[in-house]
Amino acid sequence: MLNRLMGARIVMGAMIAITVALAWSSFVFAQNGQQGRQKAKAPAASNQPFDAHDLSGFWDITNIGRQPGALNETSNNRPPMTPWGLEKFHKAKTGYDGKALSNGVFPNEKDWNDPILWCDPTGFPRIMWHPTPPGMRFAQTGEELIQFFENNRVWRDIWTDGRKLPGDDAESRWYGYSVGHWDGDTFVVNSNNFNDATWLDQYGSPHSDEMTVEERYRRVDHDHLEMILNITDPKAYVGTWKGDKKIFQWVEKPARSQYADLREDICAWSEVKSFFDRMEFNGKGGLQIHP
Amino acid sequence: MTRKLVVRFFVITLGALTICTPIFAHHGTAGVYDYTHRITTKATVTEYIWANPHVQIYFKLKNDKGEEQTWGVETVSPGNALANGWTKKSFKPGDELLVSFVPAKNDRTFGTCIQFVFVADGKRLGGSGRCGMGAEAVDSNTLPIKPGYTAVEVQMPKDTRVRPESEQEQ
Repeated sequence: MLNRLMGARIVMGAMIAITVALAWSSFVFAQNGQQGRQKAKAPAASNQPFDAHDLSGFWDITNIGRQPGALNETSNNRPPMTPWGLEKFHKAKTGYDGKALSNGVFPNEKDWNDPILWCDPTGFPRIMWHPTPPGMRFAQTGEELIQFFENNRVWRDIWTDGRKLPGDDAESRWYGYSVGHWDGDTFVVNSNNFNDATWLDQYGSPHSDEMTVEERYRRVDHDHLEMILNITDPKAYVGTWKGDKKIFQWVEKPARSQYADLREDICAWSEVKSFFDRMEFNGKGGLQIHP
Repeated sequence: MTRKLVVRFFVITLGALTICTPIFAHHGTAGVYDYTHRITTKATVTEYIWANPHVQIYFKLKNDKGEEQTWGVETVSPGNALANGWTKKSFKPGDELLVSFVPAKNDRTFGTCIQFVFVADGKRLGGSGRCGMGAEAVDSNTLPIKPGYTAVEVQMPKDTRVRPESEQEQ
């Protein structure tokens, strides 16, 4: 622990430079009107001590430092799709104008088929950036890092006890199966065994059950956590979908809860169906939404 | 004269930048709402639903023919509503309001981009009137009234509240 704290002081020493860099990139970002809940701005410098190997706490994703026009996605640099991926993508219909990643905007809501409209699990990695704001909490134990999400009150077990990823005959899951390890001060997460029922974003980017995901987290100061997420899916994409650096902001008390915790942001079909019925989604005469 | 032009330039530029600030809706709504009109009138709350995917308020209002209609509006998710200072008791049936909102297309009695002023105490809730995404982004305060609701238009008190950057309005 002592060594870690000494290391932390060194990291803190670089904090001012990082803050300046973030401030500049945030400025650039702000000039280009990015989608997202939080506008980019320079994070306040944190002088609190921290342990680079402790990711515990509540974290909110931000747009700090993201490229101009960056969408709610691991990055805009989606690799070309395979014929299998393209066929699946062209079936995705939404009302979002995804620009760089869009499959077109479908103005008639009767066409929309985003699975979360009818409360299918958001799945991973989409839950990291949509629906916004994706409140998130890390809790660490001796054998795993647990990642809790406000969205639908779900969690991921990221095992750190040395176990290996399962083989391809294992059960597929909405949130996959994950193991993690420390590479210096970077926490590396590898995941597989996803089912292919979720979208990777609200624009309909597809994936298969062969998808693997790598996440790299690094706590740069007490208040900020960097994350890069790379997606590899040879059945759907030609090459790895490399992610942009995301910055998470440490949150002492989540603003979206009256209890200083992650609130129950649960998609309950009875509530959602009532909403669609009342707003006459698809017009008068009853709900015709999928499935 | 020059000074007036400069001031006008900055006002227009600032306004345009503000309008173009992207607002992220929980679900895409392209094509659903008529972002070329607004309804601004008196209303009485009939129902307040605190639930996903969006907090909803239903109210009665009258059109130009004097016919009473029940309209609903979607706002933000309950979590974002909490962050904006709302609670599950912010409205109750019978509350008298001034409302301004963007109606859905066609004859659907549903709306978005809502601004509320409570008649009793002047309290204001809701957004600034800036809404829509992409090509639909608009300042609803500048829109003409939807035909059929022009005679019942009321003037909304000026909204002077400075909103934090994190506030989600739609």
